[in-house]
Amino acid sequence: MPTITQSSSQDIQFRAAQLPVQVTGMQAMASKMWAPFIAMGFMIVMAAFIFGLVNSSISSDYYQFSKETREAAAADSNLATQKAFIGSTKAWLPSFKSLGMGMILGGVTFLLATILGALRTGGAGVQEALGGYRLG
Amino acid sequence: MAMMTVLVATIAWLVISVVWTNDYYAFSKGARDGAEAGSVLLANFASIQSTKAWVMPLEVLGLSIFLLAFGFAFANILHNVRLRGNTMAAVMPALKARKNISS
Repeated sequence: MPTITQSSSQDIQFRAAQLPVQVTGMQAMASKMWAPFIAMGFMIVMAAFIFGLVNSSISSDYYQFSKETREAAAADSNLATQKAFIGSTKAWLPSFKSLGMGMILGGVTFLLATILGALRTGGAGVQEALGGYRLG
Repeated sequence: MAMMTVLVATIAWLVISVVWTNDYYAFSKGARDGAEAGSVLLANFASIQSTKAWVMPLEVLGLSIFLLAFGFAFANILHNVRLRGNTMAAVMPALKARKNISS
C-alpha cells in the first residue's frame, strides 16, 4: 500500500512512483505537453492579434493615398514597402492564427488524455487500497 | 470576456459592412478609383481596409480565449479527479477495516 503525502493545498496525493498502475506512455507525454501547448498556442494567437494591429496601422497609412499615387509608387519607395508588408502579412497571418488555434486544441486534447491517465491511476489506487489485483 | 471579444468583432464587422462598405460602393468605380488624397471616399476605403486587418485576429483571439477557458475547466476536472481518487484510496482501508469489524 503506497504511503500518502499532504501537499500545501490540503490535497492528499500519491507520488507518481508510488502509484500501483502507471500511466501509458502517451498519457505521460500528454501530461507534460498540455500546458506548454496551450500557453504557446495562446501566445501565437496574441502575437497574431498584435501583427493584425500593426498591419491595420500600416494599411491606414497606405490607403490615405489616391489609387493613382499608390499604383505609381516606385520600387523601394515607402508606399511600395508598405504594400509589400500588407501583402505578405495577408499571406502568412491566417495560417499563423490557425497554428495557434490548432496548438490550443492540441493542448486541450492532451489535457483530456491526462485526465484519462488520472482516472486510470486513481482507479488503480482505489483497487489497490481495497486489496484487489494489480492491473498493469 | 471571450464572448465580449467575439461580440466586439461582430459589431466591428457590422460597422464595416453596413456603414463604410455600403457608403463606399454606392459610388461608381470611376469615382472610387479617382478619389483624391484626403477625400471622404478615400478615408472610407482606408477605414474598411485598416479595420479588416485587426478585426479577424480579434475574432480568433476571442475564440482562443474560449478554448483557453475550456483548458482551465479541464485542468480543474483533472485536479478533482486526482483529489477524489487519492482520497478514496486513502480512506478505503479504513472503510474496509470498519466493515470487517461490524461483520
